[in-house]
Amino acid sequence: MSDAIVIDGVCKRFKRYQTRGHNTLKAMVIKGQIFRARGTHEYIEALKDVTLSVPEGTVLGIIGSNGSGKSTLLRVLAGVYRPDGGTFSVRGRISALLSLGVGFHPDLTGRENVMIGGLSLGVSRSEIRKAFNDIVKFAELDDFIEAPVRTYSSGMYARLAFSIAVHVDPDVLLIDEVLGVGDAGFLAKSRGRVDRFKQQGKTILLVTHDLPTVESWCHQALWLNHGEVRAFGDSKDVVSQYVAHVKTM
Amino acid sequence: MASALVRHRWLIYELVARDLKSRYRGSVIGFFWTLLNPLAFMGIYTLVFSTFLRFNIENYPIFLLSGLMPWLWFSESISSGNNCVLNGSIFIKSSIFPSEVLPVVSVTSAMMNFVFALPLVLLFLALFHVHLGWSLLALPIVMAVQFVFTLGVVLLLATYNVFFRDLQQLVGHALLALFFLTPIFYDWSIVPDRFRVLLELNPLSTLILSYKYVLYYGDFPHWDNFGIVAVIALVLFSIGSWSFESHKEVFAEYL
Repeated sequence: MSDAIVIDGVCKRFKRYQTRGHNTLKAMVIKGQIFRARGTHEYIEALKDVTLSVPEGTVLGIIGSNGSGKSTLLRVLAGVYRPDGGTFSVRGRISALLSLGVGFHPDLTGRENVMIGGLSLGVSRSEIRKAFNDIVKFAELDDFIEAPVRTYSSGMYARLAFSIAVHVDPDVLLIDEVLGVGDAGFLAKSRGRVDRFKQQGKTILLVTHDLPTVESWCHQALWLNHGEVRAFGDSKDVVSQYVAHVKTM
Repeated sequence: MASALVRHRWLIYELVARDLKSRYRGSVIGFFWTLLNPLAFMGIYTLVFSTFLRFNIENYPIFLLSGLMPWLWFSESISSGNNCVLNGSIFIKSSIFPSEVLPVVSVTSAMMNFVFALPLVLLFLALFHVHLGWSLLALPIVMAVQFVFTLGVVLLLATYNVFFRDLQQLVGHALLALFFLTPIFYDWSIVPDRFRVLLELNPLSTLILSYKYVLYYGDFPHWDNFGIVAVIALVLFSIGSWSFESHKEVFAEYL
Protein backbone atom coordinates (compact mmCIF):
# COMPACT_ATOMS: atom_id res chain seq x y z
CA MET A 1 0.00 0.00 0.00
CA SER A 2 1.36 3.43 -0.88
CA ASP A 3 1.77 6.34 1.45
CA ALA A 4 -0.87 9.06 1.63
CA ILE A 5 1.32 11.40 3.62
CA VAL A 6 5.10 11.62 3.66
CA ILE A 7 6.74 14.03 6.08
CA ASP A 8 10.48 14.40 5.86
CA GLY A 9 12.40 16.41 8.43
CA VAL A 10 9.76 19.09 8.85
CA CYS A 11 10.69 21.96 11.19
CA LYS A 12 8.56 24.89 12.20
CA ARG A 13 9.52 27.66 14.54
CA PHE A 14 7.77 30.74 15.77
CA LYS A 15 9.22 34.01 16.96
CA ARG A 16 8.91 34.28 20.67
CA TYR A 17 8.60 37.88 21.80
CA GLN A 18 6.28 38.87 19.09
CA THR A 19 3.29 40.99 19.88
CA ARG A 20 0.90 40.50 17.03
CA GLY A 21 3.78 39.78 14.75
CA HIS A 22 5.23 43.21 14.10
CA ASN A 23 7.06 45.99 15.86
CA THR A 24 6.06 49.56 16.33
CA LEU A 25 8.53 52.41 16.44
CA LYS A 26 7.23 53.28 19.91
CA ALA A 27 7.91 49.80 21.24
CA MET A 28 11.33 49.77 19.64
CA VAL A 29 12.27 53.08 21.28
CA ILE A 30 10.88 52.10 24.67
CA LYS A 31 12.63 48.76 24.77
CA GLY A 32 15.79 50.23 23.28
CA GLN A 33 15.46 47.73 20.52
CA ILE A 34 16.00 50.34 17.89
CA PHE A 35 19.74 49.87 18.32
CA ARG A 36 19.52 46.13 18.25
CA ALA A 37 20.02 44.39 14.96
CA ARG A 38 16.93 42.91 13.46
CA GLY A 39 16.52 39.17 13.39
CA THR A 40 17.79 38.50 16.90
CA HIS A 41 14.47 37.10 18.05
CA GLU A 42 14.25 34.06 20.19
CA TYR A 43 12.47 31.20 18.56
CA ILE A 44 10.20 28.48 19.79
CA GLU A 45 10.74 25.25 17.95
CA ALA A 46 7.19 24.05 17.42
CA LEU A 47 8.23 21.14 15.23
CA LYS A 48 11.73 19.66 15.24
CA ASP A 49 12.76 17.40 12.41
CA VAL A 50 9.51 15.46 12.21
CA THR A 51 9.79 12.51 9.87
CA LEU A 52 7.12 9.91 9.28
CA SER A 53 4.97 8.42 6.58
CA VAL A 54 1.34 7.48 6.84
CA PRO A 55 0.08 4.69 4.56
CA GLU A 56 -3.21 5.16 2.74
CA GLY A 57 -6.22 4.16 4.79
CA THR A 58 -4.51 4.67 8.12
CA VAL A 59 -6.26 6.33 11.02
CA LEU A 60 -3.54 8.12 12.94
CA GLY A 61 -4.12 9.56 16.40
CA ILE A 62 -1.79 12.39 17.38
CA ILE A 63 -1.26 12.80 21.10
CA GLY A 64 0.95 14.82 23.39
CA SER A 65 0.73 17.52 26.03
CA ASN A 66 -0.42 21.05 25.26
CA GLY A 67 2.06 22.95 23.14
CA SER A 68 3.72 19.84 21.82
CA GLY A 69 3.13 20.79 18.19
CA LYS A 70 0.10 18.65 17.35
CA SER A 71 -2.00 21.46 15.92
CA THR A 72 1.01 23.01 14.20
CA LEU A 73 1.65 19.74 12.41
CA LEU A 74 -1.93 19.62 11.10
CA ARG A 75 -1.70 23.24 10.02
CA VAL A 76 1.50 22.60 8.13
CA LEU A 77 -0.12 19.65 6.36
CA ALA A 78 -3.16 21.78 5.54
CA GLY A 79 -0.91 24.43 4.01
CA VAL A 80 -1.74 27.14 6.55
CA TYR A 81 1.87 27.34 7.75
CA ARG A 82 4.98 26.97 5.68
CA PRO A 83 7.57 24.70 7.29
CA ASP A 84 10.95 26.32 7.99
CA GLY A 85 12.72 23.17 6.96
CA GLY A 86 12.03 19.78 5.48
CA THR A 87 9.42 18.70 2.99
CA PHE A 88 6.09 16.96 3.02
CA SER A 89 3.58 15.69 0.52
CA VAL A 90 -0.07 14.80 0.82
CA ARG A 91 -1.74 12.71 -1.85
CA GLY A 92 -5.32 13.49 -2.83
CA ARG A 93 -7.86 16.05 -1.68
CA ILE A 94 -7.45 17.28 1.87
CA SER A 95 -10.27 18.39 4.08
CA ALA A 96 -9.51 19.87 7.46
CA LEU A 97 -11.23 20.76 10.67
CA LEU A 98 -8.66 22.90 12.42
CA SER A 99 -9.00 24.21 15.94
CA LEU A 100 -9.51 27.86 16.87
CA GLY A 101 -12.68 28.29 14.91
CA VAL A 102 -13.37 27.29 11.39
CA GLY A 103 -13.03 29.52 8.37
CA PHE A 104 -16.50 30.98 8.32
CA HIS A 105 -17.19 34.57 7.57
CA PRO A 106 -19.58 35.80 10.30
CA ASP A 107 -21.56 38.15 8.07
CA LEU A 108 -22.26 35.61 5.38
CA THR A 109 -25.14 33.21 5.51
CA GLY A 110 -24.59 29.54 6.11
CA ARG A 111 -25.37 28.89 2.45
CA GLU A 112 -22.72 31.36 1.25
CA ASN A 113 -20.18 29.92 3.66
CA VAL A 114 -20.87 26.40 2.45
CA MET A 115 -20.24 27.52 -1.12
CA ILE A 116 -17.08 29.49 -0.32
CA GLY A 117 -15.74 26.85 2.07
CA GLY A 118 -16.29 24.08 -0.44
CA LEU A 119 -14.78 26.02 -3.35
CA SER A 120 -11.69 26.91 -1.38
CA LEU A 121 -11.15 23.21 -0.63
CA GLY A 122 -11.08 22.70 -4.38
CA VAL A 123 -14.53 21.20 -4.81
CA SER A 124 -16.46 22.11 -7.94
CA ARG A 125 -19.64 24.17 -7.81
CA SER A 126 -21.82 21.37 -9.11
CA GLU A 127 -20.47 18.96 -6.49
CA ILE A 128 -21.26 21.45 -3.75
CA ARG A 129 -24.76 22.03 -5.11
CA LYS A 130 -25.30 18.29 -5.20
CA ALA A 131 -24.10 17.83 -1.64
CA PHE A 132 -25.76 20.99 -0.33
CA ASN A 133 -28.94 19.44 1.00
CA ASP A 134 -27.03 16.64 2.66
CA ILE A 135 -24.72 19.14 4.30
CA VAL A 136 -27.62 21.13 5.74
CA LYS A 137 -29.47 18.02 6.82
CA PHE A 138 -26.46 16.49 8.50
CA ALA A 139 -25.73 19.77 10.32
CA GLU A 140 -29.38 19.92 11.46
CA LEU A 141 -29.60 23.57 10.47
CA ASP A 142 -32.85 23.71 8.45
CA ASP A 143 -33.90 27.35 7.97
CA PHE A 144 -30.83 28.69 9.73
CA ILE A 145 -28.78 28.00 6.64
CA GLU A 146 -30.10 31.31 5.22
CA ALA A 147 -29.11 33.29 8.34
CA PRO A 148 -25.70 34.95 8.86
CA VAL A 149 -23.28 32.65 10.61
CA ARG A 150 -22.74 35.18 13.40
CA THR A 151 -26.27 34.40 14.62
CA TYR A 152 -25.40 30.72 15.06
CA SER A 153 -24.85 29.06 18.40
CA SER A 154 -21.42 27.51 18.85
CA GLY A 155 -22.96 24.07 18.39
CA MET A 156 -24.55 25.04 15.09
CA TYR A 157 -21.28 26.56 13.95
CA ALA A 158 -19.33 23.43 14.72
CA ARG A 159 -21.95 21.15 13.21
CA LEU A 160 -21.89 23.05 9.93
CA ALA A 161 -18.09 23.03 9.83
CA PHE A 162 -18.01 19.32 10.45
CA SER A 163 -20.69 18.67 7.91
CA ILE A 164 -18.84 20.57 5.16
CA ALA A 165 -15.56 18.85 5.93
CA VAL A 166 -17.01 15.37 5.64
CA HIS A 167 -19.23 16.02 2.63
CA VAL A 168 -16.55 17.20 0.22
CA ASP A 169 -15.37 13.62 -0.32
CA PRO A 170 -11.80 14.06 0.92
CA ASP A 171 -9.03 11.52 0.55
CA VAL A 172 -7.29 12.82 3.63
CA LEU A 173 -9.17 14.21 6.60
CA LEU A 174 -7.41 16.29 9.26
CA ILE A 175 -9.36 16.71 12.50
CA ASP A 176 -8.16 18.83 15.37
CA GLU A 177 -9.95 18.17 18.64
CA VAL A 178 -13.31 19.11 17.28
CA LEU A 179 -15.11 15.81 17.67
CA GLY A 180 -16.09 16.86 21.17
CA VAL A 181 -18.40 19.62 20.01
CA GLY A 182 -22.13 19.38 19.69
CA ASP A 183 -24.51 17.41 21.85
CA ALA A 184 -24.41 13.70 22.49
CA GLY A 185 -26.65 12.98 19.51
CA PHE A 186 -24.43 14.85 17.08
CA LEU A 187 -21.33 13.36 18.62
CA ALA A 188 -22.61 9.87 17.92
CA LYS A 189 -23.58 10.86 14.40
CA SER A 190 -20.25 12.49 13.63
CA ARG A 191 -18.35 9.52 15.00
CA GLY A 192 -20.44 7.29 12.81
CA ARG A 193 -19.55 9.40 9.84
CA VAL A 194 -15.83 9.36 10.54
CA ASP A 195 -16.13 5.62 11.13
CA ARG A 196 -17.54 5.26 7.64
CA PHE A 197 -14.53 7.14 6.26
CA LYS A 198 -12.35 4.66 8.09
CA GLN A 199 -14.20 1.76 6.52
CA GLN A 200 -13.91 3.38 3.09
CA GLY A 201 -10.16 3.31 3.55
CA LYS A 202 -9.57 7.05 3.79
CA THR A 203 -6.63 8.49 5.63
CA ILE A 204 -7.54 10.28 8.83
CA LEU A 205 -5.31 12.31 11.15
CA LEU A 206 -6.91 13.02 14.48
CA VAL A 207 -5.48 15.32 17.14
CA THR A 208 -7.07 14.52 20.47
CA HIS A 209 -6.60 14.14 24.20
CA ASP A 210 -9.07 11.30 24.29
CA LEU A 211 -6.65 8.42 24.83
CA PRO A 212 -9.22 5.59 24.92
CA THR A 213 -10.42 6.64 21.46
CA VAL A 214 -6.88 6.60 20.12
CA GLU A 215 -6.25 3.20 21.63
CA SER A 216 -9.39 1.53 20.41
CA TRP A 217 -10.13 3.34 17.19
CA CYS A 218 -6.87 4.49 15.60
CA HIS A 219 -4.55 2.11 13.82
CA GLN A 220 -1.48 4.07 14.66
CA ALA A 221 -0.53 6.84 17.01
CA LEU A 222 2.05 9.59 17.02
CA TRP A 223 3.28 11.04 20.27
CA LEU A 224 4.75 14.49 19.96
CA ASN A 225 6.73 16.03 22.79
CA HIS A 226 8.11 19.57 22.49
CA GLY A 227 7.86 19.33 18.76
CA GLU A 228 9.72 16.06 18.47
CA VAL A 229 8.48 12.60 17.61
CA ARG A 230 8.66 10.67 20.88
CA ALA A 231 6.95 7.56 19.61
CA PHE A 232 5.25 6.46 16.44
CA GLY A 233 3.65 3.11 15.72
CA ASP A 234 0.89 0.84 16.91
CA SER A 235 -1.65 2.94 18.79
CA LYS A 236 -1.81 0.74 21.91
CA ASP A 237 1.97 0.78 22.34
CA VAL A 238 2.26 4.52 21.85
CA VAL A 239 -0.59 5.31 24.22
CA SER A 240 0.83 3.08 26.94
CA GLN A 241 4.24 4.72 26.58
CA TYR A 242 2.60 8.13 26.79
CA VAL A 243 0.56 7.18 29.85
CA ALA A 244 3.66 5.79 31.55
CA HIS A 245 5.51 9.02 30.81
CA VAL A 246 2.71 11.21 32.15
CA LYS A 247 2.61 9.22 35.40
CA THR A 248 6.27 9.86 36.06
CA MET A 249 5.77 13.61 35.89
CA MET B 1 -0.66 33.21 -10.31
CA ALA B 2 -2.72 33.35 -13.48
CA SER B 3 -3.39 29.61 -13.48
CA ALA B 4 -4.46 29.74 -9.84
CA LEU B 5 -6.94 32.47 -10.73
CA VAL B 6 -8.45 30.39 -13.49
CA ARG B 7 -8.69 27.40 -11.20
CA HIS B 8 -10.43 29.43 -8.52
CA ARG B 9 -12.65 31.45 -10.85
CA TRP B 10 -15.85 30.29 -9.17
CA LEU B 11 -14.52 31.10 -5.75
CA ILE B 12 -13.71 34.59 -7.05
CA TYR B 13 -17.18 34.81 -8.55
CA GLU B 14 -18.84 33.84 -5.26
CA LEU B 15 -16.73 36.25 -3.22
CA VAL B 16 -17.40 39.15 -5.61
CA ALA B 17 -21.13 38.41 -5.58
CA ARG B 18 -21.03 38.33 -1.79
CA ASP B 19 -19.14 41.64 -1.73
CA LEU B 20 -21.64 43.36 -3.97
CA LYS B 21 -24.60 41.97 -2.07
CA SER B 22 -23.26 42.84 1.35
CA ARG B 23 -22.20 46.34 0.37
CA TYR B 24 -25.72 47.66 0.39
CA ARG B 25 -27.29 45.05 2.65
CA GLY B 26 -29.59 46.80 5.07
CA SER B 27 -29.90 49.98 3.03
CA VAL B 28 -33.30 50.93 1.66
CA ILE B 29 -32.47 51.75 -1.95
CA GLY B 30 -29.71 49.16 -2.11
CA PHE B 31 -28.24 48.71 -5.55
CA PHE B 32 -29.22 52.21 -6.68
CA TRP B 33 -26.41 53.64 -4.57
CA THR B 34 -24.09 52.32 -7.25
CA LEU B 35 -25.68 54.85 -9.58
CA LEU B 36 -26.35 57.58 -7.05
CA ASN B 37 -22.80 57.79 -5.70
CA PRO B 38 -21.20 58.95 -8.95
CA LEU B 39 -24.16 61.27 -9.58
CA ALA B 40 -23.67 62.90 -6.19
CA PHE B 41 -19.98 63.38 -6.93
CA MET B 42 -20.84 64.77 -10.32
CA GLY B 43 -23.28 67.28 -8.84
CA ILE B 44 -20.82 68.56 -6.24
CA TYR B 45 -17.87 68.84 -8.59
CA THR B 46 -19.89 70.48 -11.30
CA LEU B 47 -21.15 73.07 -8.84
CA VAL B 48 -17.67 73.82 -7.50
CA PHE B 49 -15.55 73.68 -10.62
CA SER B 50 -17.92 74.61 -13.37
CA THR B 51 -20.11 77.14 -11.56
CA PHE B 52 -17.91 78.57 -8.78
CA LEU B 53 -14.44 78.30 -10.27
CA ARG B 54 -15.67 78.58 -13.87
CA PHE B 55 -13.52 76.00 -15.55
CA ASN B 56 -14.10 76.70 -19.19
CA ILE B 57 -14.87 73.14 -20.21
CA GLU B 58 -17.71 72.18 -22.44
CA ASN B 59 -20.11 69.57 -21.04
CA TYR B 60 -18.28 69.59 -17.75
CA PRO B 61 -20.44 66.86 -16.12
CA ILE B 62 -19.42 64.42 -18.85
CA PHE B 63 -15.83 65.56 -18.79
CA LEU B 64 -15.79 64.91 -15.07
CA LEU B 65 -17.75 61.66 -15.08
CA SER B 66 -15.55 60.06 -17.75
CA GLY B 67 -12.51 60.52 -15.51
CA LEU B 68 -14.17 60.11 -12.15
CA MET B 69 -15.71 56.70 -12.78
CA PRO B 70 -12.39 54.95 -13.50
CA TRP B 71 -10.82 56.86 -10.61
CA LEU B 72 -13.47 55.55 -8.21
CA TRP B 73 -12.77 52.05 -9.46
CA PHE B 74 -9.06 52.55 -8.84
CA SER B 75 -9.35 54.16 -5.42
CA GLU B 76 -11.95 51.67 -4.18
CA SER B 77 -9.74 48.79 -5.32
CA ILE B 78 -6.75 50.25 -3.51
CA SER B 79 -8.51 51.01 -0.25
CA SER B 80 -10.24 47.65 -0.01
CA GLY B 81 -7.41 45.68 -1.59
CA ASN B 82 -4.87 47.11 0.81
CA ASN B 83 -6.70 45.37 3.67
CA CYS B 84 -7.88 42.30 1.82
CA VAL B 85 -5.46 39.89 3.46
CA LEU B 86 -6.11 41.35 6.92
CA ASN B 87 -9.86 41.16 6.41
CA GLY B 88 -9.60 37.66 5.04
CA SER B 89 -7.70 36.44 8.08
CA ILE B 90 -10.65 34.24 9.10
CA PHE B 91 -10.23 32.26 5.91
CA ILE B 92 -6.46 32.27 5.79
CA LYS B 93 -5.78 31.29 9.39
CA SER B 94 -8.27 28.58 10.00
CA SER B 95 -8.82 26.74 6.79
CA ILE B 96 -7.34 25.66 3.52
CA PHE B 97 -7.78 28.78 1.45
CA PRO B 98 -6.13 30.19 -1.68
CA SER B 99 -5.31 33.69 -0.42
CA GLU B 100 -4.31 34.93 -3.88
CA VAL B 101 -7.97 35.26 -4.82
CA LEU B 102 -8.51 38.06 -2.28
CA PRO B 103 -6.72 40.89 -4.17
CA VAL B 104 -8.52 39.87 -7.36
CA VAL B 105 -11.83 39.98 -5.54
CA SER B 106 -11.15 43.54 -4.33
CA VAL B 107 -10.31 44.83 -7.80
CA THR B 108 -13.17 42.96 -9.46
CA SER B 109 -15.82 44.12 -6.97
CA ALA B 110 -14.79 47.73 -7.50
CA MET B 111 -14.82 47.16 -11.26
CA MET B 112 -18.37 45.84 -11.12
CA ASN B 113 -19.52 49.17 -9.71
CA PHE B 114 -17.92 50.84 -12.69
CA VAL B 115 -19.57 48.38 -15.07
CA PHE B 116 -23.00 48.81 -13.49
CA ALA B 117 -22.74 52.60 -13.71
CA LEU B 118 -21.57 52.50 -17.33
CA PRO B 119 -25.09 52.53 -18.86
CA LEU B 120 -25.73 55.67 -16.83
CA VAL B 121 -22.63 57.31 -18.27
CA LEU B 122 -23.67 56.34 -21.78
CA LEU B 123 -27.11 57.78 -21.14
CA PHE B 124 -25.53 61.06 -20.08
CA LEU B 125 -23.34 61.03 -23.17
CA ALA B 126 -26.47 60.75 -25.26
CA LEU B 127 -28.23 63.51 -23.32
CA PHE B 128 -25.33 65.90 -23.79
CA HIS B 129 -25.04 64.92 -27.45
CA VAL B 130 -21.43 63.90 -27.08
CA HIS B 131 -20.11 62.30 -30.20
CA LEU B 132 -19.98 58.51 -29.77
CA GLY B 133 -18.13 56.51 -32.30
CA TRP B 134 -16.04 53.47 -32.99
CA SER B 135 -13.66 54.64 -30.29
CA LEU B 136 -16.04 53.10 -27.77
CA LEU B 137 -14.59 49.77 -28.88
CA ALA B 138 -11.34 50.78 -27.19
CA LEU B 139 -13.07 50.91 -23.81
CA PRO B 140 -12.60 47.21 -22.94
CA ILE B 141 -8.90 47.50 -23.80
CA VAL B 142 -8.45 50.50 -21.54
CA MET B 143 -10.36 48.68 -18.80
CA ALA B 144 -8.21 45.57 -19.19
CA VAL B 145 -5.03 47.60 -18.77
CA GLN B 146 -6.49 49.38 -15.75
CA PHE B 147 -7.42 46.02 -14.24
CA VAL B 148 -3.90 44.63 -14.57
CA PHE B 149 -2.33 47.88 -13.38
CA THR B 150 -4.59 48.11 -10.32
CA LEU B 151 -4.18 44.44 -9.47
CA GLY B 152 -0.42 44.86 -9.54
CA VAL B 153 -0.57 47.72 -7.04
CA VAL B 154 -3.10 45.89 -4.86
CA LEU B 155 -0.97 42.73 -4.75
CA LEU B 156 2.01 44.75 -3.54
CA LEU B 157 0.02 46.70 -0.95
CA ALA B 158 -1.88 43.66 0.33
CA THR B 159 1.37 41.77 0.84
CA TYR B 160 3.32 44.43 2.66
CA ASN B 161 0.39 45.73 4.68
CA VAL B 162 0.49 42.43 6.58
CA PHE B 163 3.99 43.23 7.86
CA PHE B 164 3.89 47.04 7.96
CA ARG B 165 0.45 48.14 9.00
CA ASP B 166 1.61 51.75 8.58
CA LEU B 167 0.66 51.30 4.94
CA GLN B 168 -2.98 51.59 5.98
CA GLN B 169 -2.42 55.20 6.99
CA LEU B 170 -0.09 56.04 4.12
CA VAL B 171 -2.42 54.76 1.45
CA GLY B 172 -5.17 57.19 2.43
CA HIS B 173 -2.83 60.15 1.97
CA ALA B 174 -1.36 58.75 -1.21
CA LEU B 175 -4.81 58.35 -2.72
CA LEU B 176 -5.73 61.92 -1.87
CA ALA B 177 -2.51 63.24 -3.41
CA LEU B 178 -2.97 61.09 -6.47
CA PHE B 179 -6.51 62.32 -6.94
CA PHE B 180 -5.27 65.89 -7.26
CA LEU B 181 -2.20 64.98 -9.30
CA THR B 182 -4.25 63.20 -11.92
CA PRO B 183 -6.24 65.22 -14.45
CA ILE B 184 -9.65 63.96 -13.36
CA PHE B 185 -11.66 67.10 -12.64
CA TYR B 186 -9.38 69.57 -14.42
CA ASP B 187 -7.88 69.62 -17.85
CA TRP B 188 -4.30 68.76 -18.59
CA SER B 189 -3.84 72.13 -20.30
CA ILE B 190 -4.30 74.27 -17.15
CA VAL B 191 -1.19 72.79 -15.54
CA PRO B 192 1.86 75.08 -16.00
CA ASP B 193 4.46 73.63 -18.35
CA ARG B 194 7.15 73.08 -15.76
CA PHE B 195 4.83 70.90 -13.65
CA ARG B 196 3.52 68.79 -16.49
CA VAL B 197 6.26 66.28 -15.95
CA LEU B 198 4.48 65.35 -12.71
CA LEU B 199 1.45 64.32 -14.72
CA GLU B 200 3.46 62.65 -17.41
CA LEU B 201 5.26 60.47 -14.90
CA ASN B 202 1.95 59.33 -13.43
CA PRO B 203 0.67 56.29 -15.35
CA LEU B 204 -2.78 56.92 -13.95
CA SER B 205 -2.89 60.22 -15.89
CA THR B 206 -2.51 58.37 -19.15
CA LEU B 207 -5.19 55.88 -18.12
CA ILE B 208 -7.68 58.55 -17.11
CA LEU B 209 -6.94 60.56 -20.25
CA SER B 210 -7.56 57.43 -22.32
CA TYR B 211 -11.04 57.20 -20.81
CA LYS B 212 -11.59 60.86 -21.60
CA TYR B 213 -10.54 60.34 -25.19
CA VAL B 214 -12.94 57.45 -25.55
CA LEU B 215 -15.93 58.79 -23.64
CA TYR B 216 -15.63 62.55 -23.85
CA TYR B 217 -13.75 63.37 -27.04
CA GLY B 218 -15.09 60.38 -28.97
CA ASP B 219 -11.58 59.54 -30.06
CA PHE B 220 -9.12 56.70 -29.67
CA PRO B 221 -6.52 56.82 -26.89
CA HIS B 222 -3.00 57.88 -27.81
CA TRP B 223 -1.64 54.42 -28.37
CA ASP B 224 2.03 55.26 -27.84
CA ASN B 225 1.51 56.58 -24.30
CA PHE B 226 -1.09 53.94 -23.66
CA GLY B 227 1.31 51.21 -24.74
CA ILE B 228 3.86 52.40 -22.19
CA VAL B 229 1.22 52.22 -19.46
CA ALA B 230 0.27 48.72 -20.58
CA VAL B 231 3.90 47.66 -20.20
CA ILE B 232 4.10 49.32 -16.78
CA ALA B 233 0.92 47.49 -15.80
CA LEU B 234 2.38 44.13 -16.77
CA VAL B 235 5.62 44.83 -14.92
CA LEU B 236 3.72 45.91 -11.80
CA PHE B 237 1.57 42.82 -12.00
CA SER B 238 4.63 40.59 -12.28
CA ILE B 239 6.34 42.20 -9.31
CA GLY B 240 3.09 42.20 -7.34
CA SER B 241 2.30 38.56 -7.92
CA TRP B 242 5.88 37.55 -7.22
CA SER B 243 5.89 39.32 -3.86
CA PHE B 244 2.45 37.99 -2.95
CA GLU B 245 3.35 34.44 -3.89
CA SER B 246 6.60 34.52 -1.98
CA HIS B 247 4.96 35.81 1.21
CA LYS B 248 1.54 34.20 1.25
CA GLU B 249 2.62 31.14 3.17
CA VAL B 250 3.72 33.23 6.14
CA PHE B 251 0.58 35.39 6.24
CA ALA B 252 -1.07 33.04 8.74
CA GLU B 253 1.67 33.72 11.29
CA TYR B 254 1.28 37.48 11.12
CA LEU B 255 -2.50 37.72 11.17
